[in-house]
Amino acid sequence: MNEIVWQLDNLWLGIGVTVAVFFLYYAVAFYSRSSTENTADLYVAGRSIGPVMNSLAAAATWMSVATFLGVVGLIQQLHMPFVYMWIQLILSVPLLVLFYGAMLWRLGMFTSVSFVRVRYGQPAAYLAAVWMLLIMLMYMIGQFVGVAKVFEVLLGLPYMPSLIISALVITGYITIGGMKGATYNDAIQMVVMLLALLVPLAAILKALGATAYAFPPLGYGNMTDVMLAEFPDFFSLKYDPRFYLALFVALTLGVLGLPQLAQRVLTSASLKAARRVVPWFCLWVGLAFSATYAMGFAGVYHFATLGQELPPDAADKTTLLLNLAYNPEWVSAFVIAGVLAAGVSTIAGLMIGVATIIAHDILGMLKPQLDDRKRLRWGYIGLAGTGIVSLLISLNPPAFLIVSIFWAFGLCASAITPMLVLGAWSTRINQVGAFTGSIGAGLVYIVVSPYVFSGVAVGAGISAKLGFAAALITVPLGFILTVAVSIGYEKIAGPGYRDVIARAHELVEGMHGWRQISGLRYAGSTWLWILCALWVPVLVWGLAPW
Amino acid sequence: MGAYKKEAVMTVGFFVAYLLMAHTAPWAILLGIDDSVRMFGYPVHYFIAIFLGWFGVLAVSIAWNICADRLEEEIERENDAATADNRCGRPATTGYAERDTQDSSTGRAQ
Repeated sequence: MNEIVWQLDNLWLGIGVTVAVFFLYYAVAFYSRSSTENTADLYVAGRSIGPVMNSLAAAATWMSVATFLGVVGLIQQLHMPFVYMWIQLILSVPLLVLFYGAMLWRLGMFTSVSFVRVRYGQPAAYLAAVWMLLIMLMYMIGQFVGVAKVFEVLLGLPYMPSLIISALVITGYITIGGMKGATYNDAIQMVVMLLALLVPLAAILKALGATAYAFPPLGYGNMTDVMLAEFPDFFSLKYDPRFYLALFVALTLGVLGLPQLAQRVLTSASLKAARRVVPWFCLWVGLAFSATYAMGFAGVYHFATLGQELPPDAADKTTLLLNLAYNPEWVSAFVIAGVLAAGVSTIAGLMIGVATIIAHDILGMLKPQLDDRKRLRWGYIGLAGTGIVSLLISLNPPAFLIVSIFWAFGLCASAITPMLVLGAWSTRINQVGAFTGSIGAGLVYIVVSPYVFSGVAVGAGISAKLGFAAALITVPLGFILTVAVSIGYEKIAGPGYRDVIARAHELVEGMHGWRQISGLRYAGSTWLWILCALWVPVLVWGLAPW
Repeated sequence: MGAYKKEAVMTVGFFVAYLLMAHTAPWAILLGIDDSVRMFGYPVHYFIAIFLGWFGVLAVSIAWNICADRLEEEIERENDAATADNRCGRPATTGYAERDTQDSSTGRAQ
């Protein structure tokens, strides 16, 4: 199929829409800059964001370029299993807030690393920062490359200048606006994304013969028979139960530890507002996800009924192809604005997340005497620096940074989630256990994945590449190590450990809302051992050959 | 049941509820799939996966918000009672945003 098929005939229409939306983003950023006076404003928007605005911003941070491009292509290749894989990603913010997000808000934290520092100390905080920076960098480079490819493939502009210009333009507006600007812009971008997905999709489904096209997310049921006639296995499960268990272990537990999403929740105006983000987030994300499945279904249906086979590299562009085929060109230009909104909103969250960890957490540990004015200045430098460094890496990214983001979620589940969740719910977890669990599980995850030492990699095919096979070993390992080493360390620790336990009670009971410290709450070890026992069969299953 | 136990039960309960809504593949594996069994035109396992993965998760989130609000009020009531009795030990230290900066040099609170 000719490459030109994917591009707009009227290049200036696409460029005009792109310039217009970036003009809007810059205007919002400049407006927000005037109210950024301190580091709390820069990193967590002064804790001033209401639930609807914040949920839109969180959803935009979560919706990446893949929502428009990669997902539709992957549905075409994997069919039903990919829908199962994607659906559970909606649990990211709900579980994050349920397990520790609301508690971190109560403590007045800026990031998850801040919590790790006050809970476990500086060595664990440095370790957590390294893991989080690695995960966010992998994520961000993918988005920068994705946005540049949008310019290259959809508008026909050369790749390298597209990458440099888009990265600089994005870095500029995020640096100017800080978290306030990013939040307002993200919310606008989520609205753009939803409109760019839903309205053109309704027209596409109508043209394809869907009877309930007015509600695109669930409006194509009457097309099922034709789809099954062309692809009898479209709705089949294909993979064994272990694959679906891995979705929970690697992805559900991975995404709940993502720092950029946690930071979004911490911008809430109140604890109640932080909790209210959750249902709103589910509403927007569910709407966008369901529309994405519908677009994937429509793409497969379109090519099947035409009798064409879509090459894998072209599958990513299905969204635009369907729009070019069934909608006027100005609609396709608006869809491009939606794709860009998906990319830049994700980059905004990641960039602020990286800058906060570097300029607030790491610099705060190295230079604790800095006053807030200097911290604010370093924050801006951190934001701009994060964008520039990410751009430089994106120009020629090392191979280990451009593996699937699903692999990074498995790393997060192994190295970050246990120390965060267990640390928030048990005073028995200490710095030795948290550090050992995190570094042990994280390193084993890297070793048994197919990217570094392919000879010792576990699993095969997609399960190995996406980190599912490795995570079935290392996530149980992370939880078991964290618990066993923590409780083992208690036995050999000296008398000074009593003070450590007392401080843990003060922090953990306080973050759950208790004003009087009993020294008894969250202190049991039975549930920790039950949790470890539950992980053992998962570990054994993970060790069995795939 | 006191607020402390309620918090633990509620958290585990809602975690399980979330998993049941967003992870429907295990049910499809256990019960088997049949593309001829339809709901609104879709194979039933496909429709349930999308419907519960959206509206099911949304419903659990609304229920959790209601329960979490009530739990917070209960914790506050127990806090007030404990403060009045002054029998449950020393006060907690919150406001770690400020402490966050002050403790940077020494490291941990734990």
